[in-house]
Amino acid sequence: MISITHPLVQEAMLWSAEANKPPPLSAGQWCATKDTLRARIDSLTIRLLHQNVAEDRVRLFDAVLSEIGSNSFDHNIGQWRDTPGVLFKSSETDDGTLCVLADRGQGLLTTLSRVRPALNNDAEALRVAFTESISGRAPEQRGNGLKFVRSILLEDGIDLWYGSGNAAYAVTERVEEWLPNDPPVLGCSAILLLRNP
Amino acid sequence: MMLLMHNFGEKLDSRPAGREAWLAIQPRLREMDAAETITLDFTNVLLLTPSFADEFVTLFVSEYPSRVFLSHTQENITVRKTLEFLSKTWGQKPAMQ
Repeated sequence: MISITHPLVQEAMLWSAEANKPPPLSAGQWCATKDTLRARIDSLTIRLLHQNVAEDRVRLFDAVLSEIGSNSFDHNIGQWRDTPGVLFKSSETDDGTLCVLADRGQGLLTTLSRVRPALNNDAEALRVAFTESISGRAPEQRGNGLKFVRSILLEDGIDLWYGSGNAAYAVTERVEEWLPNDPPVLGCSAILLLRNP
Repeated sequence: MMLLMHNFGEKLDSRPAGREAWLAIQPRLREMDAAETITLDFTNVLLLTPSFADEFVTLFVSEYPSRVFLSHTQENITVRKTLEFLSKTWGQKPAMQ
């Protein structure tokens, strides 16, 4: 599984689990708008291409980051818990390129319960989000983003840890797990690893 | 009618962008002949995600099911994978090349 002891991951986990409004993040970590996030992901992809990472892997990594980041904005606009926007940061590790994306939004259970009132807990909401075509933006009928992400992770070997509330979904070298999570993530938090070849 | 998708941006990655592209193209669609075919050409697109494609490509496929042709879908891996993924949800599959 992705190492959750990396300082970048620890910082994101603490920030996303903080009960009270956390202190402002540095400008280099903070994406208040989707355009800012797009620019940061573009910078990362250019860097990876300059490092001679295979273009197909870079484009797929871009797609996964874009879908997860877009979800944060699309589902929480006007409804942020206390801090609008997304934490985004990346770092080179011995295993590969590590990225964190986190928001302090409503979280999956609150969002999906509006269109699926029978959902009982974070674990059910997480499983629905990654396995069923359902949108929390009713009456919008589509909701394919996280299903697409899952298909890329399982087919192309990008690692993910994704937490919302007290549940998490992890994919490590194409093997997936549904896990408990403590402390709870208040919005959604994703850690991605593009492994070195 | 031929639509060069890269004219909407090299990276087609968000719902708002897809929705805006769909609205922007409506005047040209109203000028089409009733039987005219529509080709969406993905040459030089660097990124396509389901968020954008659901708001644009899916609408073409559902509004003009027998008249849409998707071209150069195999050159970029995200274009190929996104269209393969979404085509499972489309009632009628357009011709793809």
